[in-house]
Amino acid sequence: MGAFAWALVALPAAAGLAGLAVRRRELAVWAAVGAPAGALVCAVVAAFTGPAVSYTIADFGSVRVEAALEVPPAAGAVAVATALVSTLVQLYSVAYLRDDPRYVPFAAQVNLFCAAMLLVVAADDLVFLLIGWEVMGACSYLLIAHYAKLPSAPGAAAKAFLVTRFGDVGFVVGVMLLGAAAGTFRIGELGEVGPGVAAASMLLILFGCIGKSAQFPLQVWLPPAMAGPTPVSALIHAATMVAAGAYVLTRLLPVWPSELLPVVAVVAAVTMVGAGLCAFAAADVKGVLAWSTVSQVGFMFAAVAVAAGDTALFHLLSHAAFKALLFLAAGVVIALAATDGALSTTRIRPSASPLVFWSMTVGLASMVGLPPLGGFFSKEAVLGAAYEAGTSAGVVVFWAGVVASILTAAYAGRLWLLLFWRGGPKERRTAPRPEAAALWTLLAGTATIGAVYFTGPLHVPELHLDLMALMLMATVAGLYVVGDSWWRDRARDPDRLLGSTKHAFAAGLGGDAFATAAARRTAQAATGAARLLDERLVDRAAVEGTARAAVLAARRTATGHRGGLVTYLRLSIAGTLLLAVVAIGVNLWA
Amino acid sequence: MGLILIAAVALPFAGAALTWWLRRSGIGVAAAALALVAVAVLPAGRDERWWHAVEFAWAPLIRLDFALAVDGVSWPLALLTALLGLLCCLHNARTGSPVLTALLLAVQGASTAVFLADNLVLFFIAFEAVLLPMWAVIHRYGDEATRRHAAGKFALFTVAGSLLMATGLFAAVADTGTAGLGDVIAAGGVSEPVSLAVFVLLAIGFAVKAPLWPLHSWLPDAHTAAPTVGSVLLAGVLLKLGTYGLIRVAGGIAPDGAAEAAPVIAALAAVGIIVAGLVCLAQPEIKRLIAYSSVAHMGFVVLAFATGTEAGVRAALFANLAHGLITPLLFFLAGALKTRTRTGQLAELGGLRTAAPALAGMLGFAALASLGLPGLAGFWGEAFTVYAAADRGGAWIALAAIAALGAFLTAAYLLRMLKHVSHGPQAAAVEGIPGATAGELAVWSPLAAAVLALGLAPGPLLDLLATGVL
Amino acid sequence: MAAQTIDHAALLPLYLAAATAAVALFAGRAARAVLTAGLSASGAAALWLLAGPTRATFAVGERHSFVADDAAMGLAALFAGLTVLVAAVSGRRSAEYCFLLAVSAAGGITLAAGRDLITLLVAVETLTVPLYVLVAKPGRTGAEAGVTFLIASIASSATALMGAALLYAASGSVHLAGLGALADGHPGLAAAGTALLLGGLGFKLAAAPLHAWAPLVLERAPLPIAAYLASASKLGGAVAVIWVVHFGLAEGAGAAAGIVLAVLAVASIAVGNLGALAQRRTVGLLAWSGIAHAGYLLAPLGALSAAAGRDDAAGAASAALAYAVFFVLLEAGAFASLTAVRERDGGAIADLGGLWRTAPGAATVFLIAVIGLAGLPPALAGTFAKVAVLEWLASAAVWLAVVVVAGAVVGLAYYLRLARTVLLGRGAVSRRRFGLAVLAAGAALAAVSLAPQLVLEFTSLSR
Repeated sequence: MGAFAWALVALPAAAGLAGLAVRRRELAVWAAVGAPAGALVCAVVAAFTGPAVSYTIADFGSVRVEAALEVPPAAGAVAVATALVSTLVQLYSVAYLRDDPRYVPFAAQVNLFCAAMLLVVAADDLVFLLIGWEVMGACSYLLIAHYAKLPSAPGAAAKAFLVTRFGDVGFVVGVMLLGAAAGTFRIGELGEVGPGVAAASMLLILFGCIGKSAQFPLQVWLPPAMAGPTPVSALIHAATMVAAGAYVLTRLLPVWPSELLPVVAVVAAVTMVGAGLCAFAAADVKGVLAWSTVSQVGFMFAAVAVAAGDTALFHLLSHAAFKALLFLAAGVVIALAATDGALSTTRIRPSASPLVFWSMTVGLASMVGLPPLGGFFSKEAVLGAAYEAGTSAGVVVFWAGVVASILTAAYAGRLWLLLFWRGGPKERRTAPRPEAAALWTLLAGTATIGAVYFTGPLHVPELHLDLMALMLMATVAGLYVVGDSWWRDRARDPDRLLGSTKHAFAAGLGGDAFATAAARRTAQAATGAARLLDERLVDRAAVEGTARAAVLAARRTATGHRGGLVTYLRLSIAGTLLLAVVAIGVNLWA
Repeated sequence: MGLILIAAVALPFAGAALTWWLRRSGIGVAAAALALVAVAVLPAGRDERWWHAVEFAWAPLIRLDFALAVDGVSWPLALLTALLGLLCCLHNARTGSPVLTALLLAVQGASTAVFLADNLVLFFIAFEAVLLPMWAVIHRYGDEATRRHAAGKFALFTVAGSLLMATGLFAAVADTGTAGLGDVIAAGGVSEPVSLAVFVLLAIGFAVKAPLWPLHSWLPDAHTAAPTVGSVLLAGVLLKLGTYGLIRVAGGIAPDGAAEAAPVIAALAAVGIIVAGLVCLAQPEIKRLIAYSSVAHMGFVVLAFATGTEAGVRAALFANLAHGLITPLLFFLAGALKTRTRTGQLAELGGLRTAAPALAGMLGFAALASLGLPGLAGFWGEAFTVYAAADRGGAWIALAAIAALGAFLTAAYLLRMLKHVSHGPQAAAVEGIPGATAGELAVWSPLAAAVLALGLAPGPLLDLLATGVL
Repeated sequence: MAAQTIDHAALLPLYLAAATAAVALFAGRAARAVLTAGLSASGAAALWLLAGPTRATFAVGERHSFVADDAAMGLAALFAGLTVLVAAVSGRRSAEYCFLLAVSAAGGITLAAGRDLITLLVAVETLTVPLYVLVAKPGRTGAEAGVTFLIASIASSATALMGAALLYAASGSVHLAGLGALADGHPGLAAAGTALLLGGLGFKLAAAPLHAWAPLVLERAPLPIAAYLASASKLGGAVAVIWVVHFGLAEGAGAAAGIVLAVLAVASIAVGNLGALAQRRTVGLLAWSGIAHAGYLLAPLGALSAAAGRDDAAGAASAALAYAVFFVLLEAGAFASLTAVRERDGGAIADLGGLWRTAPGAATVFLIAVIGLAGLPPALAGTFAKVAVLEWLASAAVWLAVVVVAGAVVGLAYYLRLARTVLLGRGAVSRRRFGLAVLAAGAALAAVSLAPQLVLEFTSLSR
C-alpha cells in the first residue's frame, strides 16, 4: 500500500513540475484535472488502508531526515478533502480561465500546491513536512500574482509569502529545536522531550502556524490575497494553506505542554471575534469570505486549545466543503454580475442562476451552523469540546465561540441579503459545465459532510442538546439582528449596525495598514543602519580609508625624499644614529 | 587514475594556453568538456579515505610536492568547478573573446588544483594562481565604469588574505613537520599551543575569500563589475576556495583553535547574514544585489562550520555547493537581462514576465532556490545550519534564530527583486526584448536541473560528504 | 709559523675574473667578447667547484678566510652570469667599461667566498668602486648621480668600517667565526658595532636608512648600469649582510643583530613600498620597490633572536639568501627587458603602454619579472621567494610575517599598475634589441620557476 502513499504526493508534484515545462493547453488540462483526481483515488485508498512508508533522504550524522509518509484515518480524511477540492478547483478553472493566456503555468502551480498540501497532510517527519509547508507558500505567491494586469497582485502575493515566511522563522527554529532535543524529526517519536524545550519549540511552531493560518496577529496577508483568481482563493481557503496551520497543530498536540494551551485559546478567541466583526463590515464579496475563513479557522484553533485534535479536523473538513463551495459560487456570482466583487454593486436575482443561488445559500447556511448541514455538526463539536474541557482555555474559547457564532450568522445573513435580494440583471445565465459540476459536487459534500460525525474516523464529543439550543439561539439572534436592520431600510447596508466603527472593521482594524507601515519603517531604519555600517563604516571608512591613507603616506614619503644629496645625507646619518641608539639601548636594557 | 587526477588539473591549463595561442574559443570549450569528463570519472574505483592520490617531489627544501588527492569533500567541488568552467566557456564561446576563455580556463585549472591539492605549499601556490587571471577578467572585460577600482580591490584583498593564510600554513608545517594536508589532518592537526594562532591566520585568509563579514567589501564591487562569466566563477568557484579552505584546511589542521575561535567566527557570520540581507533589501541594482546576497549565504556556511558539530559541517559543505549552483545561475540570468535591457537598475525594469516568460520563469526559479525553498538545493544547508546552531544550545540558539531571520530577509529582498523585475507593467527598457535563446537555455538548464536534483535528493551528496577527510 | 698553503683551485673563478678584467682592458673592440668568454669561464669554474667537494684556503689556524662552498660558488656563478647579462644589454662600449664591470664581478666573487671582515669589506669596495665611474653618464644629471653615489658610498663604507673596528675591539677577531667571542665582550660596544656594520652594509642593499640613493642614482644612471646596481650589486650587499650575520654575529651578538635587522627590515618595507606607490617612472618604481624587497630579505634575519637555539637556526640565513637570489634574478629580468625596449632611460610608466603588442618577447619577460616581484604565480620564482621567507617567519616571528604581508599588498598595487600598463595601455614606442640576452634572462626565470631546487639547494646554508 506504500505505493499509494507515494503516489498521493508524487502524482500532482510530477504533473506540476512537468506542467511548468509544457506549452500546450490541451495537455495541461489533462494533467491539471487528472493528477489531483489520481491523488484523490490514492487518498481514498490510503484513508482506508493507512499506509506508512519511510526512506532516509538526508543523513546529517546526528540526525536524519526521512521521507516518511503516514496516513492514519484522520489524515486520510483530510487528504481526501484536499485532493477533492483540488480536483474541483482544477475542473472549475478549466472554464473559469478559458481565455487566460497564462492558464498552463497556473494549472501546474495549482497541482504543485495540491502536492505540497498533501505532503503536509501525510508527512510524518517535520523537516519533510516543512518541504510541503514552504512550497505551499511559494505556490501561493505565484498564484496570487497570477493576474499580470492587476496592480495590487504582486504586492499581495509578496505579502502572503513574506508574512507566512515570517511565521516560518519561528516554525523552523521550533522544528530544529525539537529535532535537536529529540534526536529525530519523526512526529511519532517526538514524545519525550523536556518540558522546557517542548514549550519553547511549540510556541515557535505555533507562531508559524499562526502565520500560515492567518490568525491574529499575522492575519494581515489573507484579505489582500483575494487579488488572485477566485479558484485560487477557494484552494487557499478551503483545504490547503490556511487549514495547514491548524492541521499541523493537531498533529503536534501530543507534544504540547498543557499549560501553554491558553496561549492558543487567546489567539483563537481574538481571531474568531475580531475576524467576525471584520467580515461583517467587509466591503466586497470575497472580503467577507476571506474574513470568515480567518474566523472559522479560529474555531479550529479553539478546538486545538482544548486539546481536541479530531474536533479541529472535523471542522476543517466541513469548512473545506462549504468554503470551497462559497468561493466557487462567488466566482460565478461576480462573473454574472460583471463587477469587481464590491458588495455595493454586485447583485443578482436568485432566478438568474438557481444553482448559484442554492450553492451560496447552502454554503452560508452550513457556515452559520444550520442543521443538518456539516457546519452545524462541526461547530457544535468544537463548542462541545470546549464545554467539556473544563479548563480556563475552554471557558475562553467557548464564550468567544458563542459570540463568533452570532457574528457568523450576522455576516452570512448580510452577504446573502445583499447579493440576492436587491434586484439585478434579469437575464438567465447558466454556469459553464465544468463550473456547474464542481458546484454540484461541493453542494452534495456540504450537505452530507455531517455524516462523518456518525461514521467517520474522527473522535469527536457527543452532541449536547443544551449546546445545540444555545448555538441555534446564537445563530437566530445574529440572523435576527441583520434581518431587522435590513427590513427597516432596505436601501442601506446592515453594516451600519457597527456605527462609525464600520470603516475601521472593513479595513481589518487597520491591521494590514499598520503592519505594512511598521514593516516599511522597520525595514527603512534597519537597512539604513546596515548600509551605514556596511558601506560607510566598513567599506568607505575602513577599507577605502586605509587605501587613501596609504596613498597619502606614499606622497609624503616621496616628497620627504626630494632634495638630492644633502637630504640624503641627513636622512642617512639620522637613520644610522637612530639605529645604533636603538641597538645599544635595547641590548643594554636586556 | 592518478593520470586522470593530473588531467583534471592540467587540461584546463593546456586549454588556456592553446586558446590563448590559437585564439579559438572552441578549443577552450573542448578542454573544459574533457576536464569535466576527467573529474566526473574520478569516483570510479575509489579507495576508502582518499579516493586517488599522486605525489611527485618538486622542491623538497620548501616542502613543496606536487601532490594531488581527491575525496568525498573535494570531488563535488572539483565537479562544480569543472561544470561551471564548461558553462562559462560555452557562454563565452558564442560572443566573447578567446582571451577571456583562456583566462576562465586558467581560473578553473588553478581552482581545481586548490581543491585537489594534498600539499599545503602547493595549496598556497594554487590559491595564489587564481588571483591574476581573475584580476584580468575583471579588469579587462568588466563594466567600463567600475572595473579598475573593483579589480584592484579584489586583488589587494585577496593577496592580503592569501599571504596571511600562507603564514598560517607554514606555521602549521613547521609545527607538524609535514606539509601533507591529509597527513596533518590525520595527525590531529597542530599542537595545542600554536593552534589558535594558526587558525586565526588561516581563518583571516579564508575569511577574505569566503567572504566573512567584515572582510567582504571587495565582493560587491568585484562581482558587480565583473563580466557575467567572471561573476559566475567568482560566486561559484572562488568563494568556495575560501569556505573549502576554512572547513577542510583551517578546521582540519587547527581543530583546537577552531573550537576556541568558533564563537567569534559564528557571531561574525551571523552579523554578516543580517547586515548583508538588509543591504540587499535596499539595493537598487540587480547584480549588486545578487553579489551582496552571497555574503549572506556564505554567512550560513561559516556559521554552520563554526558550530563544529557533525551536522553543522555537513550542512556547511552542502550549503556551499548549493550556493555554487544557485548564485551562478542568478548571475547568468542577471547577465542575460542586463545585456538585453542595458540596465540593471531595479527601478528601470518591470514586466519581464510578459516580455520574456522563459527568462522570467528561470529568474523566479533561481530566486526561489536562493531563498532556501525546501525541495530545492538551497534549503538543506541553510535549514540545517539552524539545526546545528540549535543543537549546540545556549547562546547558539540565538544564532539559530538570527540565521532563520536571515532566511526571511533573503526571501524579502529576492521577492522585492522579482516584484521589480518580473511583475508589473512592462518598463521601457524591457519592451520588445528577445526571449531566451536555445543556447542560453542550454547553459542554464544544467544548473537548474542540479538545483532541483539536489533539493529533492540531498542524500547521496550528504553521504559522499560524510566520507570526506576532515 | 709555516707559510700557509694556497688552494689555487678554490681561487680559480676569482683568477679567471681578474684575468678577464686585465685582458679586457687591452682588448679594444673585442673587450665585450673577452668579458663574456672570461666571465663565462669563471662562472663555469664556479659551477665545477660547486659540483665537487668544498674547498677552502687562506687559513689562520682552523679558520679559512676564503671558502669555496656550495653557496659561495653558486653565488660566484650568479655574479658572473649577471655581469655577462649586463654586458650583453650594454651595447657597444669601450674597453674600460668592460674592465670596470669585470673588476666589479671579481669583487662579487671574492665577497661570496669571503669569511672575514677585512676580506668582506675589501670585496664590497672592489664591487662598488668601479661603479663610481660607471654610474656617471655624460651631462649634469649624470654627474650628479655619480657624485651622489660616490659620497653615499664613502659614507656607508666609513660606517661599516667603523662598525667592523668596534666589533674587532669587542671580540678581538676579524674572522667571522671569531665574532662568537662578542658574547663575552662589552654588550654596548658589540651592539654599536653591529648596528654600524649592518647599517653600512645595508647601503649596498639599499635598505633603509641608507636607501635614498637608490632611486636617485638608478634613475640617472645608464640603464644597463642600473640593471647591475639593482641585481649584482644588490646581491653583493645581501651576501655581505647574510655572511656577517650567519657566520659571525648570530652566535655572539644574535640579539643585537636581530633587533638591528628587524628595524632595517620594517623600515625598508615601509619606506620602499610607500615610495614606490607614489612613483610615476618605471626605474624609480623598480628602485623604490627594490628597497622594499631588501626589507623582505632582511626580515628572516630579523627573526634571528627568536630562532636562537633551534636546530634549524640556519634557516633564517638560507631563507634570506634564497630570497636574494630569486629577487636579483627577477630584477635582472626586469631591467634587462626594460633596457632592451628603452633607448635612453626607463621613462615614465605610461611610456610602456601597450608594450605587450609592440614588443611581445621583451614584454613577456618584463611581465614575468614584475609579476614575480609581486610574488604571484605564474611567475613562480617570486612565489618561491615569498614562500621561503614566510615559511621561516611563520615559525619564528609571525609579526614580521604580517609586516611582510602588508608590504606585499601595497606592492601588488603598483606592480599591477605596471603590468596593466604593459598589457593594456597604448602608445609604447619600442625598439627590439638584445633578443638573446632577454631570452636568456627569461629562460633563467623559467628554469628557476619550474625547478626551484636549482636555487634552493645552493642557498641552503648550514653552520
